[in-house]
Amino acid sequence: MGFLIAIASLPGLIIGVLCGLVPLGMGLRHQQLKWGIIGLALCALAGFAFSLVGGLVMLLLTTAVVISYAYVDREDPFTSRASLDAVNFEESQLEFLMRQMAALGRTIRQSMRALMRNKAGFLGFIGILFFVGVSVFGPLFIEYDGITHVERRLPGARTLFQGPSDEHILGLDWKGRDILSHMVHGGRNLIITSLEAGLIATLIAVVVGAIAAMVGGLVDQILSAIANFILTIPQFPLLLVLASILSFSSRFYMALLFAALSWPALMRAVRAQVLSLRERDYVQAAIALDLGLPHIIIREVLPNLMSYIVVNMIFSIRSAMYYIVGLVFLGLVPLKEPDWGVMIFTGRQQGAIFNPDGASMILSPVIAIALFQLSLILFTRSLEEVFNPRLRSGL
Amino acid sequence: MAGQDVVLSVQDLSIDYLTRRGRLQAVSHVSFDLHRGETLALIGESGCGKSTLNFGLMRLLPKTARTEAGKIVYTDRQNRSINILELNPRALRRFRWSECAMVFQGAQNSLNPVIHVRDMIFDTARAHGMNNRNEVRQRALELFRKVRLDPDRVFNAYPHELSGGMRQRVLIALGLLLNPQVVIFDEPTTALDILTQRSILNVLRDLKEELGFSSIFISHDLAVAAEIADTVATMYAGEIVEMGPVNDIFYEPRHAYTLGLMEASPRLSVGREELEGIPGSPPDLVEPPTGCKFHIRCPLAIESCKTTPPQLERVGAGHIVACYKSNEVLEKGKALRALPATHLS
Amino acid sequence: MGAVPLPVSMSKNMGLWSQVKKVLGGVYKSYTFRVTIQGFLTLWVVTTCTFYMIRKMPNNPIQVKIEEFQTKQNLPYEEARAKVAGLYDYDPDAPFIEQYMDYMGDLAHGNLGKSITTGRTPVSQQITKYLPWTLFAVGMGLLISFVMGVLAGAAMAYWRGSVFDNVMTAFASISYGIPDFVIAFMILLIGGIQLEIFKVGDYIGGVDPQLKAGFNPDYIQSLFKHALLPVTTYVLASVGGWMLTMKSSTISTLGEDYITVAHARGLSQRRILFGYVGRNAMLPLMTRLAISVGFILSGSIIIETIFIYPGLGKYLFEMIGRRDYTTIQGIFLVTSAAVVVSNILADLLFGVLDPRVRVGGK
Ligand SMILES: Nc1ncnc2c1ncn2[C@@H]1O[C@H](COP(=O)(O)OP(=O)(O)OP(=O)(O)O)[C@@H](O)[C@H]1O
Ligand SMILES: [Mg+2]
Repeated sequence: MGFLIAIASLPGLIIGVLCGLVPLGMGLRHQQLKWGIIGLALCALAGFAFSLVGGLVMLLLTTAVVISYAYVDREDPFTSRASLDAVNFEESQLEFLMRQMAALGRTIRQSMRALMRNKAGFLGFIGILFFVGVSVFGPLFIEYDGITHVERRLPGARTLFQGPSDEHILGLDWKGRDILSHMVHGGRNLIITSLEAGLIATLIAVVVGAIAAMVGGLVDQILSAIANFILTIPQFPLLLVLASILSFSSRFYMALLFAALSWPALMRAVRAQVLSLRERDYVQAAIALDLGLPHIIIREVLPNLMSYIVVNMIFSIRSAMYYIVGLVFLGLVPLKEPDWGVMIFTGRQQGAIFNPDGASMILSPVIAIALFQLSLILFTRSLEEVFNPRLRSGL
Repeated sequence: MAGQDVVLSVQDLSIDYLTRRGRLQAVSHVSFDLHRGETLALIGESGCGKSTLNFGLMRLLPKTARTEAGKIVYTDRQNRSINILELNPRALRRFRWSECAMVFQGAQNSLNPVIHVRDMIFDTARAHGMNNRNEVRQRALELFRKVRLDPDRVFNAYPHELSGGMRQRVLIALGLLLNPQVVIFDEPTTALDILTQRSILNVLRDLKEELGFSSIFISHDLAVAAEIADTVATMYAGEIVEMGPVNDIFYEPRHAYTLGLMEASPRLSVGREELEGIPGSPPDLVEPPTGCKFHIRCPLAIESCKTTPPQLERVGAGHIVACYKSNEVLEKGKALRALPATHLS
Repeated sequence: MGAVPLPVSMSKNMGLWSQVKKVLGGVYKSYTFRVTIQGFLTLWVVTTCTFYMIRKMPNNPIQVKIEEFQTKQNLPYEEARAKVAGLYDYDPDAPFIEQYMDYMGDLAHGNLGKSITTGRTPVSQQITKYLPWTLFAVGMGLLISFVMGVLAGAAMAYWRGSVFDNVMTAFASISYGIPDFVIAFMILLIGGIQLEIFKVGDYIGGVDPQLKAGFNPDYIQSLFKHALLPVTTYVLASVGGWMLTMKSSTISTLGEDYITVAHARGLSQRRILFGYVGRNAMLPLMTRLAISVGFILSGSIIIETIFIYPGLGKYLFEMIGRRDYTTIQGIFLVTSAAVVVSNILADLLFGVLDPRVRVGGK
């Protein structure tokens, strides 16, 4: 998951711009200049932030949107909406590709519209973009301030803590370092680890839950027993013990551990949903046709569970972040600066709580975490609209 | 028509739903009179506003609904006329169930799953001032017996312990508990098997003869309506387009839509193998078509159908219809009926 | 059974065996028995796993103490070691299996063992010393947030779309979205330090140490005063969840046919709200409440640490630091048992409240 480690870089920007030429070209060719230019800008931005991966993903998405505008909304060779869904065996491979892209683009546009419909959800989306953006682009503008600045001590002050000032908007920490720079640089690891943990937990939960429900019998009993068992042990105390054992040499292992502890709840839900879906006609038909387990799960069952799964993934991300900060706060994870959790931990140790000048050192990360988590929660409402077709069709 | 024996008189009633897309005119300008002891059957396609009309009669509409115009005049046993739309909440509460009860579409969910049947009965009785539990119990057991349920078992059961047909009958008994003058049956037999349907219909007919209440009976099944009704009203897109005595409507329909319904019903289009449906689907009630709302699907439509809505006109004793081509419809109906039984098409 | 002729002895055997099987099967099918067995099984696995994991933690109690002496009193290693050896009753070199068997043997007699690092006090005594604090603070918080959440959620659903609903929903989302320790810090930092609404020193800790324990008003007042911050934090962090759940549950109940029918039957507004809507909407929440009760014991390590509240969570954290194996083990066992028991209670409770899922006979 190395690609998730992202800092804006110049080569990335070049890659992004190169990627952006594709949607731009498409836009020119199909007289959708406006969308072409927007595509270029988005590709450049994504490439800048996430280099090749970001650029390529954005290239695919924006090109699809441009094509969907070109082929759906304009009277063209394969014009109408109806033809988009009809299967035409005589078309060339290129045409087929175009059709697929147009369909993808249409889905993206619908999703974006659904995303914006719920105001609270959209606010959450903006919040998440903000934090990710600051973590990715912030380092370009604000350099990490890592050394002790004794020279910044104010006359008469007993500590290096300082409240907010013009020069240092968020004030100085116990070593006289700029808190803003720690805020900008200190969120990335936390966000990425939580993200990884959430992704892995969701993956485990979906796979295990689907297998348990579709295979049934002994397999189901064993898997469910494991899940129940994990749900019974108090999670946070267990994490304390495990954190001491593993001493987390790598961030990824930490994510893996959180995932290992947080899949059971979603797994039980997925299992229950799959069990009830299993009884529906179309899944029964697929089983009767002997289409194979993976096929049934991926084609028939998953799409119906999408909104559920995505929302739960957000919850996993959230609880992973909670636990990481909790562990760091209790001093059980190696402290690597800069990090929001470490700021809280050292801030408390250095008496920032009882020092009115030092409050910023704890309050800044605390508020950032609160806002980020709040954004995640709000975002789930939009996700429900995007992934739940019943809601999407309105009313 | 409005004689002494009218129990319920609906005059020019319109009901709209406020939706995201705009106002949905679920019921528009409906008028009819319900006489003592009469059974009025409402027929029409799904979504034409039958349930909405009846919810409107009991003022049970959701908050998004607006009762636009009209009057609902109820005449109680002391011959006092009450406009239901003007009742205050307390009077309305007293009116409901003791004067006019309703057996709902979908009995499966009409009973609170976590409360004993007996408690629902006591609740209802107490809400209307009958506090003698023993008396209420006796009355309920008697009604259960009348609807052919095992009284003691059902009285002490939870709803989930009863079958669908049993629940339907519990609801009917519950509806008659306070001896109302008017009972509304909203598709009481759909979703039940033929035998249960039969037995419920028999029960209903017996009860009606015995207790003499008037009823409004909604059904998709025209054969059922033909069997139980005295008067039949056809609804289309929120309007009553034809109303008359049961035999007139079934044997001499005057509206193209009524005729279409007859033709689409297996048991009534006697002898014809091919059932003829009505082409197309009901109109969008947010933006209803101009003129006669049926003209788009009507095989006999003429120019004026598209522009000016036809008014209800009297065509026979108690038979009214809103159709410019009512005579042609009558002829066509007769011609169809005259076709040989082994018709090839 | 007897259709196929069998040799006499064998058919006799079969009869006996099938009888035994029938009895056993009957016992197994009995709900209480099955649940009890499953519960014990789970607890046994939890105990075994934690037993192993706890001892896998780097260092052991002796080592930790030695290091402490070395750094704090500047003793050389040998001397520190000798000192510790006299203090503790623990042999780090004993084989794992032996330790395990000993422990399980004790457990079988209902004995949680003795604490290693706190002068050989029984673990059960330690737990009964710290448990009441947690029960008091978290239990009170849970009760308050549940009651408030249910009332507010029902009101939000009833007046949905109103200004009240929108304001409360926003509040609930914030409460639900923000982690509890964040709220704790905000209360401390903003309320206590920046705005100086209260004096932090007066509120942290469990009770004013100057007061003598007992049923005198001062002591009880002090108990409540010190529980105020943890309870407020808990309530603020969890009331939102209850509000949102109750709201959606009430909304779906309000849309049920039987509610319309209840209106049609002319029932009074009050009867419908309490007897029909409220009761049915509460059903799904009761299970969750029972489960939350199970997690009371373990749910508050961070909060207790922030407010220096002498509950079980904070104590567990300290004991993990000291590697007091037996105490850690005991606390794990008790907290897991609470979860298991509350899960069973949740099942039973749901059966009582909702006749549709009533389990077992009767
Ligand atoms: N709560 C509501 N909000 C908005 N529109 C509604 C609502 N309830 C019903 N409608 C609309 O009002 C129209 C009439 O609905 P109604 O339930 O009265 O039909 P119906 O004749 O009873 O149909 P059915 O035979 O299927 O029961 C339909 O178009 C329906 O979509
Ligand atoms: Mg209906």
